Amino acid sequence: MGKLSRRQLLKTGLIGTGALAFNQALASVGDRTLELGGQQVSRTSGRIRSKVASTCLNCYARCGIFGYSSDGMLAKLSGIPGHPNNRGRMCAKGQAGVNLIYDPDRILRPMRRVGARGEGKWEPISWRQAIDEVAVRMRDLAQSGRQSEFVLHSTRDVTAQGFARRFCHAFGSPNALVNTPLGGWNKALAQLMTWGSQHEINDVANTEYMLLFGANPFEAHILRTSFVQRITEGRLTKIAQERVHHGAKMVTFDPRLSQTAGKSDEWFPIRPGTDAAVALAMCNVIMRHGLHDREFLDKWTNYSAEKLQAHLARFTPEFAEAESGVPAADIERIALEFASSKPSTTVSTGGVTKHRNGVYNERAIMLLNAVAGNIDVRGGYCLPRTIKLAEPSPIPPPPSAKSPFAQSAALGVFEGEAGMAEVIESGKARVGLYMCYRANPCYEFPNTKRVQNIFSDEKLMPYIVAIDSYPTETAMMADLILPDAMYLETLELETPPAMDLVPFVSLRQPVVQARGLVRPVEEILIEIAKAIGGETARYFNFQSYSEYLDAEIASVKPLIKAGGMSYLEDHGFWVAPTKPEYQRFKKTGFGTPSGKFEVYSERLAAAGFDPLPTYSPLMDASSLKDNEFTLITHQWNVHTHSRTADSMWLSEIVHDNPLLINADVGERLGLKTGDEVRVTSKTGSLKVKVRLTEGINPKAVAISDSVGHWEYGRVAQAKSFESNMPETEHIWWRSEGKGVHPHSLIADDPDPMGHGQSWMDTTVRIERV
Amino acid sequence: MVIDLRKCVGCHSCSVACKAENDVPPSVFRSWVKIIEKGKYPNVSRSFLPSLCNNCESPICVRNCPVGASFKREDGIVLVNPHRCIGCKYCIASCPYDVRFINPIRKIVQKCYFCHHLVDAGMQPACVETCIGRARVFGDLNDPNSDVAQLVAKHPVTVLKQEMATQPQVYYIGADLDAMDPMKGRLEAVNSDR
Repeated sequence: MGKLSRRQLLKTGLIGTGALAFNQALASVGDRTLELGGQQVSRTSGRIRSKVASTCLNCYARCGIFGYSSDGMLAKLSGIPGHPNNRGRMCAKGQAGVNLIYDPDRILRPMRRVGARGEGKWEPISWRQAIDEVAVRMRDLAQSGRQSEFVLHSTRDVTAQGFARRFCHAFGSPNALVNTPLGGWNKALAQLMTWGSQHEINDVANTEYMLLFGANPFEAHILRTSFVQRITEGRLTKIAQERVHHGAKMVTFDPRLSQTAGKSDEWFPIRPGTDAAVALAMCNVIMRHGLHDREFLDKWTNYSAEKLQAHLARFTPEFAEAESGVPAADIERIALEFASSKPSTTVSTGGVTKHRNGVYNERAIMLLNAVAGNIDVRGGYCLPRTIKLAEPSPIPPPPSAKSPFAQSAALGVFEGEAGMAEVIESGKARVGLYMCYRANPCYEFPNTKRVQNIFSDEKLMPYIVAIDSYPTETAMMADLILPDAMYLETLELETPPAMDLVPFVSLRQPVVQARGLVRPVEEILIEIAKAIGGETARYFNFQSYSEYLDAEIASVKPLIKAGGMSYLEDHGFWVAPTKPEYQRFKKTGFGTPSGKFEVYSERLAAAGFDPLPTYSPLMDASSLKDNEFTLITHQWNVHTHSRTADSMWLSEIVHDNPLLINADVGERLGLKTGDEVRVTSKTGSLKVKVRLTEGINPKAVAISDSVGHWEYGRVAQAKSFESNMPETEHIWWRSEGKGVHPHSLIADDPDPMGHGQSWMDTTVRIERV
Repeated sequence: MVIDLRKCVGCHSCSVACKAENDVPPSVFRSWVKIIEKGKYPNVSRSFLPSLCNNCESPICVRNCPVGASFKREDGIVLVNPHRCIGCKYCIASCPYDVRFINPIRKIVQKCYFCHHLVDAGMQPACVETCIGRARVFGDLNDPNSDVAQLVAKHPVTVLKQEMATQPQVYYIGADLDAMDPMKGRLEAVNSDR
């Protein structure tokens, strides 16, 4: 840079801004380094901004954040430098929290519908009236013994999900529907059945080989900001633990060239839904060459190496090539590289699990790690480390009535939203009162037209309560909207899985005063429970939600010793005083019935599924006609699936979602980038612009969700408008459009085992408009 | 500043952190990421090029400013004095990197200045602080012990349009020549006016 030394530069700066308070910063940084975050100054006045440590929730990663404010307004968000997961970094979505809190279209007070349902006519009411309205209806249900007609549908926010379940059970309803992160039910089930935990930690910082199946961590991952840093670290050569760590090779199987695939050392445009064939063929190759971890297989799995080899015999590289389109020679080569680079790990996410064969795919990939000897080793495929918080007693017993929404009953794991539309529409479940918290099924669900019809039918859905901060597509169909504090205004505890395998507790607390009359969802539920009275109220005998949180951490003794809640309020997180310990299963066993890594699952067998990791073909590739393709969906680096389109900063970068089609195929169909096509599936049809690209399998087309809102707010709909922020008049992308929403094309068709939606299995026909 | 493109993941965290830090309105960016796709199916790859004002050692924009509003500080940061700027756009025309713009609300010329308000207060620029790939490194190149000086010493680096002799102060490690070519298409053209 310039010609001055660091010391002089700082001096110049000090004269420039002239604030005495900087002396302290100067002293603590010495004269070498500029501090990397942890502090903020106002751009105009140079004053140090006040800060509050909290936990992000703009995606499931739940990074540690500082909220900086001036004059009572949130000015900026950034990562907490010492945070064990995100280490001071923050993604675009996290930064955009400032947009979301000050969104001019946020709902700031309770509203009751006055026009016809969905007409958009509302009257503001007081909280007292709103709570009474709900409580009266719920008491009615209880008095007529119809408790199980109450449905509470919550999403993403794990802490609130637990609280929502408590509320449901306290009322006597078994219908606490949850949306598992990223629709990853199939992954969750595969992992629980195989090794008893969900969300593996891929130790990518210390690995020498990353094999990505349907994973795009540069754009989306459950721990994205934390995970990406470790990937970039792992890919550079360095000295670690007194030896040379070679920059890890990264190989990606994905039908679409994602940001991650585009930066990988090798990319294979695999045919959608065939990952298990490739993974099992790799297991086969590794065992054939004797490169497998015999000790782990014989001692720590419930299926001997010999039997496994026999099971794998039919999954040859040639078989996998025929299914997946990946050349057999490459499968063989990569299998050998994967097994001989120690340590190595796979990374697998939505691309493999969001299929009708999602559980089998994930189990096959887990097996590949077991065969290669990666399970819970440094640089390998590790068990998650989290801290369990204790739910305060008295805990309401689960109602004896079985939920008509319960899925995978034979596996006894979930009670979830998949199949909700079917259960309600067919009358298998009668709904008296449907309450959703930040869930937006009218937009998020597959076959959205059908869901919208259900929500407009006052016989099927007599009363809808939406607890939300934004006028979502579902809230606009509600009878009552209760304005929820958004994540920057609430108090919650989080225990995300730890990237560095040392568990921690993280606190979310208001970084700035809440806007309008909004209230945190937990406080709303406490109020309603008290208003219902009786047995329900007994389990919600809290002055406020913070009392519940105090009780939750009471069991974490070292945290209490460190100062408990006040420690968390000051620091935002607390890290357990332990060291990362690999291969802990050698002491504790796996959390499965046999205590082993269950290659053979008795539970899957009992439920009528294949007990061994296998490949179940979805369709015959040759059955697709020339203008027929498999539609796959994807997520952008700057958006979540459904909750970020109303951010100006994010939608300015991505507001549109062209259909990606292979360039050669597009030319053959007479298409060029920007042309409009009609895309038709068995559930719907829509018009969309195409973009020709070299980066996609010729028999697949891809489109993103995240955009194409018809409610939610004016920014999400690409409108420019006058507000108290001058920026909103400069929203320029209306002419480019707000994008289309592809879910109407996708049938509600979950994996029969995991009940995760198959977002990637739709056959569509494409015609030029 | 050094941007290590081996670590860039093309995530736009820098683009958005800059908007947040510097109150940059829609339609203009001080920092953005160019994304290009290269090759023929199935041998295709992507390259990213985050760009921002190079705060050149020899800035043409400063030389061409008729009212002395653009100036270079002693530490090398190039600034625009908002009280002097008359919005004549000579600097915009003369900048080889297209990093200056008229703020549509305030109607004056603005650009990236390495978040000098943070640097003055002993902190690093917002894009560096937030970079999730840890690709951006900031510091004093004249200090041989600084991270930037070490990176520049150990790795081959490039700058944009070296032939303009502006001596840009944003150095890239592992930059892709095609991504550096201003005439090469931008993948996200459909999604941005730039």
